[in-house]
Order: sequence, then structure tokens, then C-alpha cells
Amino acid sequence: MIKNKIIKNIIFFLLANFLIFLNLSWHVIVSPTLNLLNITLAILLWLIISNPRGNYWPYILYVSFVNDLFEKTTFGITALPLIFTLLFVHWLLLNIFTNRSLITVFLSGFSAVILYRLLFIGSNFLYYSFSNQTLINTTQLKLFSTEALFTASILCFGYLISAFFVKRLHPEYISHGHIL
Amino acid sequence: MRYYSFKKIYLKIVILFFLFITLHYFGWLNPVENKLRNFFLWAISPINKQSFQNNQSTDVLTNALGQIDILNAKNKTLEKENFDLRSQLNFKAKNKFDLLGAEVIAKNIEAIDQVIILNRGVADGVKIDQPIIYGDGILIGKIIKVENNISFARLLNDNQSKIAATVTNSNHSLGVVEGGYGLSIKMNFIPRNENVAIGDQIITSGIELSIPNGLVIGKVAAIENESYQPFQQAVITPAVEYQKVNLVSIITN
Repeated sequence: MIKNKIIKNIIFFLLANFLIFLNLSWHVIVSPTLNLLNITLAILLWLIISNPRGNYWPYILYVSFVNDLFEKTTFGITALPLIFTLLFVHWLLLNIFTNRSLITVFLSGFSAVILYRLLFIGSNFLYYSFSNQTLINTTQLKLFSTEALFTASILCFGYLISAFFVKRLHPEYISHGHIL
Repeated sequence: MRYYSFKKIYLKIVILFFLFITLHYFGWLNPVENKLRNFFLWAISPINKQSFQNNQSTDVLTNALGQIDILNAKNKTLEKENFDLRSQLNFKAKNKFDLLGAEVIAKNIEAIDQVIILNRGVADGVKIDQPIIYGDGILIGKIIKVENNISFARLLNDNQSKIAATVTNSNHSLGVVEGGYGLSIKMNFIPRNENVAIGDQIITSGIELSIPNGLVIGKVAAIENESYQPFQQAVITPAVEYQKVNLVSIITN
């Protein structure tokens, strides 16, 4: 039992590091359009949607803090929107969006990106001490909407694929004779 | 409706979050943070180099099935590096600036920001607001954040970038060069009565203390002069593609 827990934690830690590596490389490799996919948020949302009662929160904190080391803003300014968005989506999935239809997954992803960006703008605005910069403009709105649509679509796609395999390979599902 | 209670977990996460922030600002996490940062920068460095090589010689790499093509690609990259270093040396010889060579090691992880990470930091004498140049005096951005061994530079096409500039026309029109989310660079606040033509060069005006005058920004690609607006606006073609920049210099004095 303890051995399993240790192995699970090691796997989670390795996956968290891989996610950070992927996020850092993503912005170097892909074109400016594909760049709009918020890969960290998409993968962490997929994790929360797939298993809302999982014990992965320490790793989510780890990912958000390490990502913050590569941010131009002061430490914590980008981690704050990420953590609070994920907490909100987690609560939403456990209390409001209790079923897991494709629309639910899409709405969770879309609302998560929008909330993340609103919190991000808010925390940045506070960070720059209400300086005379524009809070939000149409270009920014277009970029955020594209990011939300893109991330939510990729999340749906990822969820569909994972659900397909989880259902096919789940021992309980097979034992009930749903397959074969 | 029965609400599933996760209050304790949420509270723990929020407490942990603020605890980490506090520990960071007391500096107690610095050794761990530096090690983690160095580790990830080391891990992505091959990808960064490969991406730069691809940017330099896409045309060759598209057909790079044989060894000769791969060697050609590497040769082109070395040629480019040699050219960049030579033009930076030229610029140093012609001007009295103290230049510090730096390499682009990563990009900021926010897609909407146009920020690059350089391998020079406080230990090398880098300070906030120092200009970043490429080649023979092309301004590409300025330093906005400095850590011990690395620094963050905001590129001119970032939406928060604002640089005082002048047009090399007969009026020497002044204005402010502003970025637009990596999509464009525009020069605003040019008086409407001054003549700006397509192809005019845009250089830094030297009004800002930290940025010397005469650094090249780009050329005028289009002019927007509407009768209902108090100023005219020029769309600029940058003198260099910022995505392809790998070796830069920081003006330190």
C-alpha cells in the first residue's frame, strides 16, 4: 500500500516536471497561432475533470510555482490566477457540472480560460499599481477568446480520447460485460 | 442539493499558496528556485538551439534528408552567428557604448507577452531598462526584470512596449513606438502636419535616459492619417524578425 503510494507520487512528480518542460518548450517550438493554446491549463483541467477526487494538488502548486520562475512579472502574480481558476473549476465540477458530457467539459474549459484571464488581468493591474496602461482592449479580447476556444476544444478532444481508453480498459466496465 | 465539501482541502491549498509566496519574498526559497530554474533552462536548451537552427535555414531543412543538407544547415547557422557577432563588434567599434553579449535561452511562458529570457543577470551587471540591440545597432527591446544569472527583455512588439522614436524625414518627426501583442509595431503621436513617407527609417530619439539615440527600429510600411484624429500613425516593418534573434548585446552604460 505504502509502496504504491510512493510510486504514484514519483510518477506524479515526474509528470509535473514533464508538464513544466513541455510548457517551456511549447513557446519555443510552435508558431505564434498555436502558441495560444494554454497547455498547462488544458492538461491540469483534464486531470481535474478526469478525476476530481485525486490527490494531485501539491503537484499543481509545484507546477504553478515553477512556471512562475519563468515569468516576467513578480513571483506569484501568474500562479495566483492559475490556482484560483483550478480551485473554482474543481468546485464547479463537484457541485454544478456533475455529469461529464462533452458540453460540460467544453464549458468547464472555456469558463476556466476566461476566468484565468480575468484574474490574470486583475493581478497584473494590481502589480503595475494601477499604472496608466489599458486594462483590456479589443485585440486582447480577441486573443483571449481564441485562447479559450482553442484550449476548450483541445481539452474536449483529449477528454474524448482518454474516456475512450479508460472505458475500454476499466476492469469493472469489462466485468459487467459492456465489451465483447 | 447536497454540496460536496472540499473546504478543508481548499483552505490548505490557499494557506500553502500564501506560505510559498511569503517564503519566496523572505528569500528562503532562493537556492531551490535557482536550481530548478537552471535545471529547466538546461533541459530546454537543445530545443531552443534546434528551433534557432530551423529558423535560420528553414529552406534547407525542409529537404534535409541527406548529411550534406544537415551540414549546410549547420554551416548557415554558424555563418549567421559569425555575421551577428561581427556586426555587433562593428557597432562597438563605432560607438562608445559598453556592450555585453548575451544569448536568448528561452521565451516567457505567457503567449500574449513578447518577452525573451537572456543568459545574463545581476552578476554580469545587467540592470532594468538597459536596451537590447541586435547586430549593427538594431534596437529589439529592453530589460524589464533581472535575476542573479538571467534577465527578461521585453521586445518592441510586446503590447506594453513604448519607446520614444524619431522618423528620419525632413521634419525629424517625433513619436512613440508601441507594440501590439506580437502582431505589429506602430509609431503613434506623429503630428498630422508633418510628412512621413513609406520607407522612411525609424530610429530611437534619445529622449529616454536609458536608450541612446540613433538605434534602428525599422521602416515605415504604411501611414494612417485620419482627419478626425489629432495625430497620424505609422505601421512599422521591424529591421529584424524578433523570432529569429539568438545572439544579442546589452548596452550597459
